[in-house]
Amino acid sequence: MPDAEFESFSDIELVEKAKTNPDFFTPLVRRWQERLFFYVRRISYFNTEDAEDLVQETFLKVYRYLNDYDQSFAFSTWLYRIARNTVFDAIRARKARPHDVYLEETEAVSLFLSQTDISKKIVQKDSFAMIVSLIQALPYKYKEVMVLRYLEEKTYEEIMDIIQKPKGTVAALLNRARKQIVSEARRLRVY
Amino acid sequence: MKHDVSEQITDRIKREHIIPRSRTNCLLRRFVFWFLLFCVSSLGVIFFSLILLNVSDLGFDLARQMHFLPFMHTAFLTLPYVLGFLFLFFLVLCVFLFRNTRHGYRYNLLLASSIITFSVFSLGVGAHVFHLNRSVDEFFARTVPRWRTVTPLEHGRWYHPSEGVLGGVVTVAPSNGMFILRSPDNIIWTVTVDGDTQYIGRFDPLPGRRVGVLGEQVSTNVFHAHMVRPLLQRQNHEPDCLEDDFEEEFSSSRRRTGVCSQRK
Repeated sequence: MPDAEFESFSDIELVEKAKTNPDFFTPLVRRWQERLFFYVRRISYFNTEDAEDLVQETFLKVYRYLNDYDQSFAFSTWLYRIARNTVFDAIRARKARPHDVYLEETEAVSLFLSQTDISKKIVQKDSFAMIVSLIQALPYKYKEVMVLRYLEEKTYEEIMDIIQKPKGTVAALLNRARKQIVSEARRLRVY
Repeated sequence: MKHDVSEQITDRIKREHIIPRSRTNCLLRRFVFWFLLFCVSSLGVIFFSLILLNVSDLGFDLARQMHFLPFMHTAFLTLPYVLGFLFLFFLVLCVFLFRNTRHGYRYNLLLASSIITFSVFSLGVGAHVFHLNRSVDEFFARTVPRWRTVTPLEHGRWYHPSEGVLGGVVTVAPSNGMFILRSPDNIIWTVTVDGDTQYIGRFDPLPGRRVGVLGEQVSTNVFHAHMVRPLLQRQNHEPDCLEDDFEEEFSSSRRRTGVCSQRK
């Protein structure tokens, strides 16, 4: 069936059909692979090829555990949780570098602007490098929730379910991240 | 992404004959953890009820009288309260965690610890209230020979009143909160009892019965009992009896039918 015919199916409907027929898994993968790839890239230091491998591994795990999927979660939440765990396992297995978030310059600036009330037009282009290092200097746990909230556009409830922490913890992490960004930005005179 | 991997994934699923894990398998793995948790909690309940609470029932005075090891004394007497405090602490934590989390990660280590503490404490107290210790003792008494054997009176270990141990023969049955005991050296003792005094084996200290008393010496020839237990009975003009079935000792409605053997 062409992709257009699957558009009317919800994620849950595709999941149910894929349990008995793997061909219904293909449109589900196509729907989420791009976003998942960028998420995997952001929460790890892996290159494009490795990130694609991790995306494939994630989807295979998803397929194996289709019967374990709890429909009270959104499918994307469950998918992101499995992806996160897969990335963590891969990083532990390699033990090459400490776990960190990888962000493009534009993504770092986007995160910075989401935490401050200054306009993008005001921020000088030569400040971008400073902003990127400022964001990169944040603790990993802050960056992870910021990526999910401002780049992946997840709700607080979805973030809770992905990283498996209480709502209060998620809110506290975002709040502390914001305070640290504003404080550092003022110190560096970017803000 | 550089290219679409969806077809690759589906091909690999078909090529390697990957099928989704069965629902039963998924549930089983999840519940193995809870089963193990249940086993650990059950062991905790038994330990708490049969050991900690039983020893606590002996009371501070008795432990001090018998010069119980200081560390063990403190540990056994404080552990139930420590567990009670932990129970309250984890209960509060439990409520807080439950309200602020959802789905699978409710079941984190802290919550699991809370459940263990809660169940051990509440079930342990419940088992103790319903006399689990007596049921276990009676079961062993019925099945294990000489389960309730204690040191005979003649061995001399039952006569250290200054250290809280007194043995002898009852001469006057309990009344008005006391009974009279004649010790092996023929000294008459007044033994006082109260509502906290434990009678081991549910027997009546009738005149002629040999009993061992654990408690404290109040004054000259006056002894307060924390625990009273029967000792081996000795018939007049009969050799010492080493009976196997001591259950009859504790039932006033049954006659003694044990087989006696001559002491060498």
